[in-house]
Amino acid sequence: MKIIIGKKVLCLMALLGMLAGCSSTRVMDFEAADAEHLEEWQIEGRLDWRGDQGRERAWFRYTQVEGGYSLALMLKDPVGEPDVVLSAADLFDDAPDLRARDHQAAALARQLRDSLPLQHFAFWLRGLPATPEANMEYARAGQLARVTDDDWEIHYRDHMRVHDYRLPERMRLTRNGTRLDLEMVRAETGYLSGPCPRDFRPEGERAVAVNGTTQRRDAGRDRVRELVPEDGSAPMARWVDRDAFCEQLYRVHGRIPDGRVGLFGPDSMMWKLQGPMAPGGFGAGRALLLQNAHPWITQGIDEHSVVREDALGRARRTFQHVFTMTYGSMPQVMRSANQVHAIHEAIEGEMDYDAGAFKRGTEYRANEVNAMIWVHATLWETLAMMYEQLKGKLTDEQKEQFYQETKLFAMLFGIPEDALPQDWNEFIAYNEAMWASPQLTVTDATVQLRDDLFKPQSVLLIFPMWVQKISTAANLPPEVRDQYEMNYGAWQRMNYFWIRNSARLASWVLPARVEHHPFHHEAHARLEGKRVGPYQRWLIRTLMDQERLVN
Amino acid sequence: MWKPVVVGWLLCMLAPMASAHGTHIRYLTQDEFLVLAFPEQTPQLQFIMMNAVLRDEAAQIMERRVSVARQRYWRAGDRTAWIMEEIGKEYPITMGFVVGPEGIEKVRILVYREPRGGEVHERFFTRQFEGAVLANGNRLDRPIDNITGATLSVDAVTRVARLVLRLHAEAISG
Repeated sequence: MKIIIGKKVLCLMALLGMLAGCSSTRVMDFEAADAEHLEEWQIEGRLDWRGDQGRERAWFRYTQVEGGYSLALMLKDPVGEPDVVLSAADLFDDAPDLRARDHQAAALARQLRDSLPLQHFAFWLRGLPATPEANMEYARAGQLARVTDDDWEIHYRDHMRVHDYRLPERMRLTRNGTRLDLEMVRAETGYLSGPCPRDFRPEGERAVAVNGTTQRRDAGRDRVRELVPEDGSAPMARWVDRDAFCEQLYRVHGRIPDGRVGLFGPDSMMWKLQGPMAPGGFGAGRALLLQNAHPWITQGIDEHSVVREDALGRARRTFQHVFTMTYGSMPQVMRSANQVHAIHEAIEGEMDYDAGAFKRGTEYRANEVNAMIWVHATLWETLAMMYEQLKGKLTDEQKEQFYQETKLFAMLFGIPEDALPQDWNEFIAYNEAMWASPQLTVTDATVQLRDDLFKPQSVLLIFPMWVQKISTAANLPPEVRDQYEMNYGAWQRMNYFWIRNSARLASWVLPARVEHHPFHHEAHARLEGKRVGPYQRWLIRTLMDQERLVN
Repeated sequence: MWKPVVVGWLLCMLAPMASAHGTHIRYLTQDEFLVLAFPEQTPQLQFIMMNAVLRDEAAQIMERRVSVARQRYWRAGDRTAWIMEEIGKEYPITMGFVVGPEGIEKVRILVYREPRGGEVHERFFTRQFEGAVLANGNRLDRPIDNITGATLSVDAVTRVARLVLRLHAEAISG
């Protein structure tokens, strides 16, 4: 009896806690950008057409790019090759070309072309008036509810947030007994015609000029010694300007066969290692402390970052980009890469103090090849190490495949492939050389960052932060751990033993639906032309303050 | 019974921690801006079609590819109002311009979305554009002072000011 009452009380407390937690969730202050200014975009979904000649259903993909448009219809497979495409080089052309696979598809396309004002579609699909005479009606919340335009009546039921925009999710177009229902699944909001906002002509296989010097391409180079000079000095700085950055994006863009799949895809080691939450989660502290041990990183954070005032906000924005680059479609990946490059462009200054290989008064910039290679290395070396600890050993071939994939990620920051260690073994040698190099020097400012990192910002974070600290101490290279003055004695060893084994157990027990983070599921849904379910959507909204990240 | 409650509790407690400080700030709505531009009555919306020539010119001004099909504006007599967007660093800045026969009359930032650099909405900055006209090569006839830490936002507003002056000339002549 007492047990039953105790359970009820606990249940009630849990429910109250849940309500309290949910009620304190911030209301998003998202201000949608104006879809009128979308220049290149694409919307995918399902259409249900009812006209004089009956009812037809299909999946559609509407694309506006370079002043023209195309409407692709897929009768059976939402992500397959189109059965018919209606396209025009001019957006206002109401007689588009028609290319169809068979008679059935051609018949449907002709019905649409003859009955619908396709030149207006580009605007109605974005919830915009097609003509100045359009009448727009809004619901109470300020959302577009109805448009009357050119004798058509368009009802908007729901809206979806895509990047900076709020676009229609469900709409119905009617006129004189003709009805078209559209249900959107996903959208792209840029980077369809090229990976850079500016036109850029890649010059084939020419050597990449970075900071006025030309990279040598000889096979016998010792890249580890180039990146970590034996005399303990800093390597020669190589800034990545806009052209060098775009050159790398064009190289990446040209290599990817399918824009929907993105940079890596479901068969990649990148998706395999990034999918489960535990390796990345338990390794986060290690990667961050290794990065911060580079004096430029600490100086850059001190002078340009909001980490100290808004650590979680900054972390969220960082992971939005990391997950988008890993799991996004190519337009999403390129959008993220351009955003990060722009953020980095503003981060520059002079060292305030001597720190190891970096002298006071010397210039630093975020868009510098050697510094970016280091940040990049900490992420992937840590992820592979933690994956092996928590999920299982990787073969040499898997490690090599993983490393070769990470090069694509590095190129998204403008790092020339030629500047990177060439294979996994060289990559590990580079990491080890860096740990022992004066390029990693923990200063007072770095120690302060360490303290900020592990400081729980709420009572609920005390335990997770303690776990993170133990895991970080356990996994940092000893020479770096000593610089940070982090203890790793018997007490920490014992705690890490049970933490690691608990994580392993949880990883074994939990189904993939729970163990893998929602962006992994979202990317898979994109490949199938679907959206993730309500639970994953809720997780994405909770974690990233976004309705969707990679779909 | 227990599992959903515990999982829900944990996630809901984590939700407020994960919520970042929002950075989007709306200073003016579209309607408020249009009232500022045309105090007596808001004129009907109009569109200027961006043909290939205009797009090329816009691309030169904006220093990027421009493939927009039309630009929306409001016109009363020889005055026009434009609501434009341009990315500063990461996110679009929504800005409003009123242009008359003597050049730019008003510049207002309607929405600022970046975590930093929001000073571009301050009057000390936007006032610099008042009276500005286009000089040779679609450049402004005056220098615009930079704001430390907001260089990209300053550049974005300046580029759009140049484009709006060019589009105003097109709208009036058309």
